[in-house]
Amino acid sequence: MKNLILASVIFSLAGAAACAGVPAKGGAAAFKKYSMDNNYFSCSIPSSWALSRDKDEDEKYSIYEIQLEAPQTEKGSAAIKIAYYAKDSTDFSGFQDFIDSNSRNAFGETKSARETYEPVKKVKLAGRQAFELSREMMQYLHPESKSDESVQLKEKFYVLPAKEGFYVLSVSAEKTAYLANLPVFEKVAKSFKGKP
Amino acid sequence: MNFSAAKTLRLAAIAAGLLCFGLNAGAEPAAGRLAKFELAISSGDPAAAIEFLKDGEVRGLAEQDQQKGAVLTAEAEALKDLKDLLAMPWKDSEVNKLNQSLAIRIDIDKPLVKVGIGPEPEKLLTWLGKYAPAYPAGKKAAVKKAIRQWEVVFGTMTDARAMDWDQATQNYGQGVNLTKAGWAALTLRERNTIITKLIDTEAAFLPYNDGMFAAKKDEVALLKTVNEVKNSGALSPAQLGQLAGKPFADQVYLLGSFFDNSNVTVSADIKSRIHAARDSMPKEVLPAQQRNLLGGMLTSAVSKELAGTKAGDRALAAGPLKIEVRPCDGAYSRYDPATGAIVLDSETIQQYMRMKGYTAASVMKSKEQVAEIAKYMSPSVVYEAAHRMQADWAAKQGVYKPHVQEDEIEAMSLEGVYTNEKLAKDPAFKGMLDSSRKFSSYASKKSEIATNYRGSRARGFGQTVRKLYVPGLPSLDGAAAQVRSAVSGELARRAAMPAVEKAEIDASGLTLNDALGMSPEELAGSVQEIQTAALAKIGKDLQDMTAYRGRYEASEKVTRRSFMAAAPAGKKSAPPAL
Repeated sequence: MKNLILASVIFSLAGAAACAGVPAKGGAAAFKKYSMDNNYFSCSIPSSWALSRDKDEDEKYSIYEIQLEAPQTEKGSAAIKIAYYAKDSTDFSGFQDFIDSNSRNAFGETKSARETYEPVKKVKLAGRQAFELSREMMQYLHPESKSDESVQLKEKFYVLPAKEGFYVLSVSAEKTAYLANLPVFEKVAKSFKGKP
Repeated sequence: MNFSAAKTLRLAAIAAGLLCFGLNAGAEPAAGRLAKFELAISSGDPAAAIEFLKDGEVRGLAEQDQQKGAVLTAEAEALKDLKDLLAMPWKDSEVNKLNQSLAIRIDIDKPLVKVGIGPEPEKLLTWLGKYAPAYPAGKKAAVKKAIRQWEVVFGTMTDARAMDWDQATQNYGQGVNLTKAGWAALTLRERNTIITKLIDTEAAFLPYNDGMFAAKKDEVALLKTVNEVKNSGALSPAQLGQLAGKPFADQVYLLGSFFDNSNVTVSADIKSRIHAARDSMPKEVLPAQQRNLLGGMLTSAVSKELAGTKAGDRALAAGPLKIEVRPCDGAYSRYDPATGAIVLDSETIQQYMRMKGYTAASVMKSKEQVAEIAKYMSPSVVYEAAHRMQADWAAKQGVYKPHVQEDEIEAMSLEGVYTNEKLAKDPAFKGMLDSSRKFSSYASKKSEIATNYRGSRARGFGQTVRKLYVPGLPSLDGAAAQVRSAVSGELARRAAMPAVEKAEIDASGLTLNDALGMSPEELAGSVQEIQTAALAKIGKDLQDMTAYRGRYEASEKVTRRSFMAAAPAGKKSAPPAL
């Protein structure tokens, strides 16, 4: 029975990877190594996802980040972001500020008609302490006009404090595409190595 | 290294556009680099464009020939802008936004067309194949959807399509025939126009227009609410009789009237939803004279409301406020540079009055109700105050300043900071926004902008505004590129023009003042009618973008500091200790 459950979990994960458009060879998705400048971080990234980085903006904000865009499927789109907020970055006062600002809405709520935030969890990631945040939200597409058209997003963050600055690993997907792309994000996160 | 490996490396370097530029920049005399940049940019190479923009020595050399330099810079900026745009992740639900972004960039007379990207949209796919071969198939599929490729819109089974066009309907044998070959020659703007016409007769095309699709969905949701009320048993037979056979908008209006004038037992949520959606009743409508009066009353009430917040004080520091109340054509507010007034949408105010049960007469008599409206609309005032600061800066500098994405980032950021400050410090504001956001998309959107700014801050919020909120606006670089290209082209044409003809344009053409008020689109399309001195002045304004960028960056720093000082979110609830 236990084997059956395990087999079904493995099957569903393989299916999810396939849905996410990650080419599988012998059951494993193709990943390659990525290293950020100055050894800020390194991780494995899915080869079939589109990688983008704006070096000028990184330097302007002292936030060194890459974005990975999932191959599109009928289920919707997803993107992963790996970011290092250097100690001189001024967007957030520190990892706690980031966590507080992304674990509740502007009203200080964890639940509203358009948003649900899971409680912040303390976890271990790639051998280091981290915080896990998850949320689901409706996002307006036309805040400039009087239309209520929205998209339903699901997001997960790992926030990793460092001696200088902090790291944020996140996946943001249309709700319908979230589960299919989550295993890819988890694999990226598990391979993550940053400065202590 | 063996020959094969060396060849592979070299090919990879060429593909990345680095062989001539990234790797050897600085090692070659500027003239040689300029020649290579010209060649590469003319073929649409984005890596070369970025290197050129960073190479001050080569740019200086290029600008020795002012017109040639301006054209080259415009093309390079347009290529960088396109590369940045496509590098962003585009969700399926955002393909129409990408469509808008591409439609303003790839069109006749745009700089991108001069480097081979357009006006036929499929040329973008060729460019992607050449300069972004690593993009996954999914990204290319999104681009194909965004450029409205024939196969995406009409399927792969047909090369022709008949449609109605206004009075020319297929029923009378007068419809319009589209063909795959004809479609390939159309610009994206033209394709969008045709699709909008198709939506008139076929709902299947609705997903190609977010606005029309959303309006339809809103209508369906409201219809469901109306039916809920009709089937709830709460209405009397006489009331149901009054609704029978009426147009839908009239039914919503009548329901609002029933709620006000009888004891209809439906939930407060449903009542508010109907009140928010229905047309105003005569007693709730603000006639022109009362709108003028209310504008004057709001001017002082809003000033009091903004004072004492960091973002509000910045808005007030821009100069005395002047508030007007008028319909804003589908927007919540706008800034009128001609009068210096911030105009608040009368329908949004009336919707608030309907939700609260206020009438035009009661508002005119009550300072408290006016103060409440001022509080409710204050985020929009801050947003428009930022636009006012932008217009004032341009007027003071005497430069051409088009409306660009950076303006919206600045304005929405300031509004986001203000709303966060008020939510933290003003319980009445918080209560009002909280109770209104369920029924008013205005209140819900103001709340969402505050949440988004709080969670993403300067860099992340800027990305959201560019991609999600205003993809149809050009970026500063994109707008400058478009105008510079058009102006330099026209100046070159004028230089070769007979003196009499040129003198005639200079005597009777559009003046600098006329041109300063134009969008990049309008200006690029009107260059032949603008006086030479005005064109030269605008060309000079846009030659060096340092002052423009410096202003946005300085403003962003102040906004960010204001937020950190006023709403130290990180201190409110610490996460579990490590």
